[in-house]
Amino acid sequence: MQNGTPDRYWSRTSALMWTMFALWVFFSFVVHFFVNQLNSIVILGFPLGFYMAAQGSLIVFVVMLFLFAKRQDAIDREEGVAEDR
Amino acid sequence: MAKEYTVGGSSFLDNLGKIYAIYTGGFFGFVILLAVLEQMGVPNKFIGYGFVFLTLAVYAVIGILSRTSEVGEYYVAGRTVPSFYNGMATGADWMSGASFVGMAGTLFLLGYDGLAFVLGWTGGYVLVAILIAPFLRKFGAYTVPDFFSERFGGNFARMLAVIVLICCSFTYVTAQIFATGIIASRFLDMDFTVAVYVGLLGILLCSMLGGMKAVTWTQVAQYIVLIVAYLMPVVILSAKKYGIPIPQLTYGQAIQEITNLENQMAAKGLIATSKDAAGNLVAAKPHIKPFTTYDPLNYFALILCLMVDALLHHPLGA
Repeated sequence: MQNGTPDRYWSRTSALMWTMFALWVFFSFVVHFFVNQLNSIVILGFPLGFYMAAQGSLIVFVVMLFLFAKRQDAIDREEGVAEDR
Repeated sequence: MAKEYTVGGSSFLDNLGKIYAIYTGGFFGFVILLAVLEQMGVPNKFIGYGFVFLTLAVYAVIGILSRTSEVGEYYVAGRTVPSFYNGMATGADWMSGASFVGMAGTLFLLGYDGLAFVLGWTGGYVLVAILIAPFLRKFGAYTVPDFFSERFGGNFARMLAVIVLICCSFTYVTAQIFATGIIASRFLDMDFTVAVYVGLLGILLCSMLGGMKAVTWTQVAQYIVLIVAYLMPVVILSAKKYGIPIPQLTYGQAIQEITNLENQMAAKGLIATSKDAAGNLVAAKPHIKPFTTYDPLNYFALILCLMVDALLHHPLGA
């Protein structure tokens, strides 16, 4: 049973998806294009470029996942397509 | 009709926390028991056997208790698994031979370039979440090829999905079985071929009777064992060497030490940082230097491939 229209649900979901996608492209690829430059910055013994690949991007991914799930769930509930529990 | 105790039944789901807490407690007690036995001088071979066969027995029991002939349960665990436990099961999927043995070795050998695997698979998980997850479950299809055929119409899409799936799965399963064979043959002191069959038998016991339902619940049990196994060596190492039991913080210092050692060895002429004219490795490569094995194009292409791979694997629960 839907409260909102299918179009609105879809446009909200798409918008969220594209935002997440852009972030994903940035932290998966763009950041790592500059790994050699970033490596000259050292934090806690970590060259930043290496850190981004080994931990940094991953932490961002996990945070993104939590935020995305929360946001998508909110959209689902507002548009009335959430799962019944 | 007498009330049968089945894994996944309502009394099971209500008591999930308690059941797995008891299981975890039992696991730690078991480890302590084995430590005591080792101190008493029991040969390593028996400890190895004890460890493997007891945990396998637990998983097999869960597998048998989860037996089912309902299609919904066989394919998607009846969609009644709570999300926290589903997450544990998914985590256990990836903390398997490929990661434990394969990735550990790759990272050791390739240094920075090995991180393509880490980035690829984790990033791929994000891709799954945003592109597929919200839709696959609502859709109600049992398998990704089913989903494709409904969504895109007809059997051509389905065939395409099946072909890609089999190609991906085949290579992945091969690596997994190989890792299983290596671990079993070392741990249990068996011939490699025998070890592979023993491993396969264990897998069959856990999954054949109950399908996805059995797999999910055994994976939750495995997750607990795996996460302890993964964390324990690095935590102990970190604590012993740097006094802080949080490896993520001391990681940086370890990297510095590796770099220093490499520089010392380079000064003595023991390692080189390049390949010779024929492209063969001259000697060891610096751990943190990017693109020593893959050039940038290949590195990023590899990441992309691994992400697509994760995209195809995760909806399977594989």
